[in-house]
Amino acid sequence: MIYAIASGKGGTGKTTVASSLVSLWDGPVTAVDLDVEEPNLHLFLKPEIHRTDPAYIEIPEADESKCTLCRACSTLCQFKAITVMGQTLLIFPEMCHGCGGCLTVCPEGALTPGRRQLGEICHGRAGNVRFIMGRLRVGEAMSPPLMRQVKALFADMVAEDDKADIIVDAPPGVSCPAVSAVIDADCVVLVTEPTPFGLHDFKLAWEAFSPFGIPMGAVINRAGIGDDSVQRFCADKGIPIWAEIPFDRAVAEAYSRGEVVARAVAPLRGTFRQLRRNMREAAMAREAACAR
Amino acid sequence: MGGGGRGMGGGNRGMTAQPDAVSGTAQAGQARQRAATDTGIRKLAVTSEGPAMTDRVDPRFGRAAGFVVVDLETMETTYVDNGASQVLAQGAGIQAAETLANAGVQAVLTGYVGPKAFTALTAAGIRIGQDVENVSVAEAVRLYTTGAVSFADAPNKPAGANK
Repeated sequence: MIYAIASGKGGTGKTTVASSLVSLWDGPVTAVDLDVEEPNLHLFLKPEIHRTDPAYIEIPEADESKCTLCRACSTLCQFKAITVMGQTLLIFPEMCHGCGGCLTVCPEGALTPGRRQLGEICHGRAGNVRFIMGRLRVGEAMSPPLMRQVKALFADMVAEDDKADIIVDAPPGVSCPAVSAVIDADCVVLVTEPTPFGLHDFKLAWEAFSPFGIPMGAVINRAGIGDDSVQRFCADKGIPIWAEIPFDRAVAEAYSRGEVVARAVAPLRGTFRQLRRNMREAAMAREAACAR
Repeated sequence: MGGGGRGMGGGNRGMTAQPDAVSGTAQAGQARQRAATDTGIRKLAVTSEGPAMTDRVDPRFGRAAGFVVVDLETMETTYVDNGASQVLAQGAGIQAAETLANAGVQAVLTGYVGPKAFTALTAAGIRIGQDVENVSVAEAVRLYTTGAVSFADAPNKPAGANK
């Protein structure tokens, strides 16, 4: 099963929740940091990284002696990555989304596959937990292509072993990277905080992810501050609240030391075990419904 | 999304524009005046907020509202809409360069040009006069014809800065 820990608002506690769940998981689990623009799950899990692979996207390279300036490629490209100006074929590698369309349509065989580095994928282990992290290259603008490569790794794991559980630390927000992180999940945990700001972005996330038909539940972090607007919204929309993490000095202190809060703060263990049960049940229920 | 050269939506507004503003000073600076026959530049585009010579120069290149194209021999103007660039999230400068290449201009006057647009314009053989802003299109043309605008050999903005 693939469990995505997501949120509309940044800084609500996705990594706090993901690292705690991983540390209390009762079976083989792989922790995946898909927040490739600013991965930070490793700061809490402190994995030993034993392999780092560069990740690339395919871009066109031109043999100008074969190019007849027919513009088949530039007409196709929606991103202005390849264009004909005057008597010159121009390629802008950083604009390319890697669709490969230009290579397919070129009638002269003037384009061959080249590559641009997107970033890197790190493989490691933290105790019994397998760890995978994508990290975008500084200056690279497109994160979903790198995320797809990371997702292909854990999709293979799940395909090989249907007992394999994956916990994904997703990027915040509701744009392409966030959608890319949750769309293949079997269950989505939306982390929020009980404030007007938290509610605003929680609503956006719920609206953005609802159409996927993936079971979703809320985790209210820093419970006790703010107001009850998130709880009322959840009640109104029928969103289950799977866990509440109290606004507590001990939690903040553990977090500030880079500790996994479920390990450092004993009363939270029950909270995260209950969350784990709720996630499992939601994912199983969906699987059963799909099988029928 | 638009391919190259679909930006002629504004059509030919066919103005014989502001003869006083341009020709008066042109005569005064005749010695230094850039003649179209000498420079090889007959069609000059100016990034513009609107179709008229009285409209202001739009300092953005890729995201300019449009281009006033001036025939420097006849001083006739046409307007080329830049709508094809406006719909692009990225690559507006490249699209705008394509639009100008298809309009057959030899030079463009504007405020800022980023590196990709600069590369594209240069490949098309279009000369670039930068840092032209806070003036009307007519004044920009006058500055050019009197030799006050020099052509750039490097872009003056980072990529994507004109969004």
